[in-house]
This record gives sequence, structure tokens and C-alpha cells, in this order.
Amino acid sequence: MLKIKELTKKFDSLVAVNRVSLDCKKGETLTVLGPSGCGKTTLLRLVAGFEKPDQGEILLNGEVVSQPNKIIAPNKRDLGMIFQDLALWPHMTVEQNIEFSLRSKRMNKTERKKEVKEILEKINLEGFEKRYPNKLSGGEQQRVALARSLVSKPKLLLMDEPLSSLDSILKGELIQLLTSLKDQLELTMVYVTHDQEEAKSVADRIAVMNCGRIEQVGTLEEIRSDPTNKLVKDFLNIHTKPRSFRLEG
Amino acid sequence: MHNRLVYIVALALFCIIVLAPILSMFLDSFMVEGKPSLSNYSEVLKEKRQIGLLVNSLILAIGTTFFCLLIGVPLGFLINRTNIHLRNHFSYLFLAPLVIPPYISTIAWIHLLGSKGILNIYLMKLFSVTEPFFTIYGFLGSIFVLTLSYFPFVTLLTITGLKSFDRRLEEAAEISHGSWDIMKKITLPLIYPYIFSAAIFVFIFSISNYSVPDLLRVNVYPVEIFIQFSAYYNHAKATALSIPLILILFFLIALQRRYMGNKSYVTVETSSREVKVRDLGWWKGIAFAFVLLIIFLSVLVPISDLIFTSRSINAYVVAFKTAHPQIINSFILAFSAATVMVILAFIVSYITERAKKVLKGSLDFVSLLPFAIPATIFGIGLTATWNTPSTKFIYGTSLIIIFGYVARFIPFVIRTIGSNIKQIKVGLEEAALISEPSWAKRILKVVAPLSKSGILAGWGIAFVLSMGELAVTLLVTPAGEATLPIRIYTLMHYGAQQLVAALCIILVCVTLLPIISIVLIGRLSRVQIAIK
Repeated sequence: MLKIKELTKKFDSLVAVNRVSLDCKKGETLTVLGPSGCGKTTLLRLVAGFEKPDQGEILLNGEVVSQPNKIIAPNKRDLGMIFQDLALWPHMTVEQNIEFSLRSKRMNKTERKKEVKEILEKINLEGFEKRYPNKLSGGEQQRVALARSLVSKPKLLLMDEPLSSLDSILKGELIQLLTSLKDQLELTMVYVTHDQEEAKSVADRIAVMNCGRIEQVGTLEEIRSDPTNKLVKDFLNIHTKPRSFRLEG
Repeated sequence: MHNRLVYIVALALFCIIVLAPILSMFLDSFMVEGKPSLSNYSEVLKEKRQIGLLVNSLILAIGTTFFCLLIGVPLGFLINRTNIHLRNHFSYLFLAPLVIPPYISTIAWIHLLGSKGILNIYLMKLFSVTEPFFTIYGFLGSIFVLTLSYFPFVTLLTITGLKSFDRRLEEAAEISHGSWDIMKKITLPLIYPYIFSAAIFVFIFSISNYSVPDLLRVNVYPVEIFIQFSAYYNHAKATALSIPLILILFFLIALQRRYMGNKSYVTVETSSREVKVRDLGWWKGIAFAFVLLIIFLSVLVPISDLIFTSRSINAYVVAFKTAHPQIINSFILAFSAATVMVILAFIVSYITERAKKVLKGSLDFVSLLPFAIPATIFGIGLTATWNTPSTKFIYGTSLIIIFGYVARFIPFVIRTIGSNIKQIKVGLEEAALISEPSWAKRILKVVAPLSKSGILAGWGIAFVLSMGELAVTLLVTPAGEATLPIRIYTLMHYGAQQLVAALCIILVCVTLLPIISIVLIGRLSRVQIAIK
């Protein structure tokens, strides 16, 4: 489904993404886990088509979409994306936010309305159609962002720290919603986060990223049984022996 | 120092300088020979001229606003969002027309396109006709000159709007749409409040401008008010005459507050949100020509005409010899007024920002009031307030001119500094409270440095506007205290073309002097001034 080959992106002298290669199979959820500033957001933006790579390429369904000298516009990639701070359009209602993201132009008004209604039902947002984003709670805004990214029925969903602003209870609810939607819609997901618990609970496979490089890729069990280095160990909180704590002083 | 005392002194000064003239002028208009009466109003309303004046004023203001939007908005987009040639230079060059007061460009355009303008004479010879095809006099000319003077406000606000929102809002739309749809449905609606505000400002400026329609012989409210006042010395009637105009302006300001809310007019923050710069491709040449043409007409033509008219270095020597008191006077007055405005505005916006809700709302509105009062009316109000035997030390001296500048232009400074102070979180001050018991020191060491860019920008705006101020000064200047704009205006009526041109150039240069130093200081201390 998604294939990333030897991808490199520099900002001036900073190498944000350094020769990254990754695969993501159809229906799979790949979590990119790493500390802030490790280049994971840039990686996601490259996949979405907002940035042009300096080296390497990205393929979607076998078709090259990004190369240093060729780039296919984000709206031609058949993907959905949830941004870190959601980026809901403040001047549009919930309904308008979702409808505007409906890609197909061939639909008429009633069909569009129907699509919007359907997704609102799926995401438990009925009754919120006419509200503006600033009149919604954090969890509701999150669900609008989700609805907006899914209304066009994309095959690939990109998520950039989508739950970082929520408390743990809401997080749990949304992760459940996300997993059920994923099965219903046969979604492939790339999920970027710095929170290992989040990563563990949604991922089929985890890619640990640091300083622009992928340190290790695998299922949680694979990584747990054979972490390649100390950083991966620390970051996934893998410890062979139970830790002993001692009070200082 | 006690903070209460500072607050009270600042608010009292604000009331005395800004509100007193407005109030006293209102009260005066209800008085006839010392007794309360409505006869000023009934007299004014009976006159048929009212409708003509209203229509003229509206044509001028709507026309100017329309063309300012037509030029200003695309210019803002080109500078902020495209890879136009010389993009970095245009990002401050577009502000240059603001340094040239409208009457100065009018003087230049009259010289070129007046009935005996050099360009017209040349064209008449070329086509051997006896009448010029187009003269700068009348509505078209006035709209033309005012547009070229005021479009930078629209561009400035468009750019501020474009910088005000997160680029992710546009990227979120890129997932599903092409760039044209995004522009139409996301970008433009997001900056609509800014464009709307700009339109209202331009409307207010052009409907209350006195000098341009006066020079170009268009009869509008400010001109008529001025005549009422200076020819008949009837200020009650002059005020009554202006009431329809003031009502319109009040309404527009209220409307603007509704739409714009508390958004800031200039981005003073330094955080650079990267924007996606679009490739103009095939349009690059046309866009470049468009921007060049605007700069050419609004800056290069008037300035080079004036330089050409002044003809020789000698004109400048004569100008300095005859007018150096006015040059120095103007500089000192504008400098002091700008400094007073910055100090007052800083304290007033600080109080506004930290005050409780009710006070906040009313202070906010009051600080915008001067926008609704046309300059000529302000002049009348100042006279009515201060022309008393006991206040001769104000009315009879330069102080009255400083009062006039402050009263007219302080809203700009309050807006600029206020938007900066708004970004300083209370927490920062509370953190200082732990170690620094003195209020004054906390303000000087925490709040003032953090709003440095707003203060510098506010000072620059105040200085530029004060240097060029004409309408109020014309009415209140005491004998022997003339400013440079007044000197230019009076000399113009005597036809001293060469001298006038030299003085205009001197005025522009003197205005630029501190601005350039601010920009240099800003560069040195890496403070990005609002302009960029």
C-alpha cells in the first residue's frame, strides 16, 4: 500500500528525515514512535505531499507520488489526515467542515448531504451539524476532525499526534472508536506519536524513530524480545529485569 | 511609584486631551447664544446642500474604498504568498506611500495633470487640441490620489490576516482540494475580517479627508465644515453640519468592532509561521508589472515630479532659509507628540488589557472614538475647549498642536501597542511579582521590553501621521507657530511652485529620518517591526 524508499529531507543544515525506508501493508496500522523533534511529523508531511523530498521516493499502491523532481498534489493521493492541533476551519460549521472535505465533485447536493450524515452517525456526532468548532469540547473537536478526514473514504489515514491534547479517559474512548472504524472501513493508518502507551494500543507494527532515522521496525513483541539498542529499550520502557527503586537521600 | 496614581494620571490625560474636545463640541452644537437650543440642527437640516454633500462624500469614500481593495488585496497576496520578483523588497516598499501625505501627492499630480499641468500641455500639443483630455480635478482625480495614498492600509491588513492563521488550516484543505478552491473557501473567508476592517478604515480616512478634495475642488463635508468655521466662525453650526457624517462613522466603527473583535491589526510577534509560496509561473511578469506600476504611480511619479519642479539645489537653500523654523518646529512637535502618545497608549492599553470586563469594553470603545470624528471637527472641538482666557498657556502655544496630534492619532498607537500587550501573559508578570515588589520596575523590566516592537511601530506610525497632519493644525495653530505642512499649504496658494516642491521633498525626508533609524535599531536588536 505505502512504500517509502531511502527518503531524505533537509531543512537548511538540519536533516529532518534521514534515508528512511518503511512499508505499510493494506489494513495495517503503523505507528511511528519517537521523541519530539525526531522528524516524525516531517515524515508524515512528506507522505501527505506537503513537502518535497530531497532524496528517495514514496509509492502509494505501486505508483510513485513523491520524488525530488516530481510531486503529486495531496488532493490527488486519496488519503485522509488528522493534524496535531486538528486544524478545523473556524469559519465553518461541523457540517460544512465535513462537507468541504468531500473530495468527489460529481456528487450532487443530496448525495453529499447523505455522505456527511452517514459519517456523523458513525462517529456519534449527530445533532452537532450546525455548531462551530469553537463551541465544541476537545473530544468532540477530535471526532469532527476524524469525520472530516474519513468522509471521502480514503484508503490511507495519516494521523499526527491526534490525541495528544486529550485526557486519558477520552483517549481510551477515541482509540476504541478508531479501532472499530478501521475494521469497518478497511483503513490503512500511519499514526505518529511520542506516547508509547498510545503507540502500543493502536499499532500493528511500531517504527521507533530518532534524529531522523528509523531505529527499529516490528511488532511490539518483536521489538520487546530483541530491542536493537538502549534508546529503543528506554523509549518503549522495555526492561528485562524489574526495576528497583531507591529513594535518594 | 503607586500604580493607581499612574493609572489615574494617564486616564485623566487621555480624557482631557482626547475626550474633552469631542464632548465640548457636541455640547456646543446644542447652544445658541448661551442657551440650549436645537436650532443649529434644524437650520442645517433645512438646507438642501446637505443631500448634495452627503452624496458627494459617499461617492468619494466608496470609490476610494473600492479601488483600494481592488489594488490592496491582490498586492497583499502577491507579496505574502507568491514568488514575485523582489518579494522581500516589496514587503516594505508597499508602505512607502504612507510617508507621503495625500496633499503632497495632490500637489504633484496637479502640477502634472492640472488644467495647465505639464503633462496635459504636452499632450495637448501632441494631439493639437485646446482642451486637456483629463484633469486631476473633480471626483475621479480625488479618488485616484486618495487610492494611491491609502491602499497600503489594505495591503498591510491583508498581509496581517494572511499571517494570522496556522498554515495547517490550508493544508487540511489541500488533502481534498486544489489551490483555487482553497483560496475561495478557506483563505479568503479566514482573512475576511481583516479586509473588512481595512475597507472601513479607508472609508473613514477618505470621507474625513480635507486636503485632497479641497485642492481638487470637490465639495464634501470636511471642506464645507472648514468653510463654515473659518469663513463664518460658526463652530456650533459647523458641528451640527457634520452630525450625519459622524453618525455614519460611529456606525461603521461599531460594525468593525463586531467583525474584527480583538484581532490585532499588525503582527508584532516574531514567530515566523512559514507560508507556502506559490509559483506564479507564466503570470510572474504580469504580476511584477502590476506591482511596479502601483509603486511607480504612488511613489515615484509624485516624488520625481517634486524633485523635477524644485529644479535646483538653490530651491532647497531658499527653502531652508525661509522655512527652517517650521521644519524644526514640525519635527519637535511630531517627535514630542509621538512620545506622549506612546506613553499614554502604553498605560491605557495596559489598563484595558488587565482591567475587568466592563471597564475593558468601554475603554476599548472609547479609545476608538477619535476615528469617528473628522479632523476638521476635532480642530473645532479643540478650539471650543481650550480657547478660554484661563487656558491660554495651551491654546496660545504649541501645546495645542501636540494635543491635536495626540487626540487624532492615539487610536492607531493604542491598537498597535495593545495588540502586543495582549500577547504578554499575566503569568509572566506574576512570575516577576515573586521577586520584584515594585510595580514600576516590573512594568519597565518585563512588560515594556516584551512589547518593544509594538512600542517602536506605534511610535513610528504616530510620528509619520503627525508630521503630515494638516486639517487640525490649520484650525488651531497659534500665530507664529506654523508647522511645515501649513507652510506648504499656504505657499501653495501663492503659487510658489519651486519652493513648495522643495519643502514637500524636505517634509518627506524629515519624516523618513526617524523611521529609517527605527528600522536600523530594529535590525540591530533583531526586533522585527510590524512592517515585516
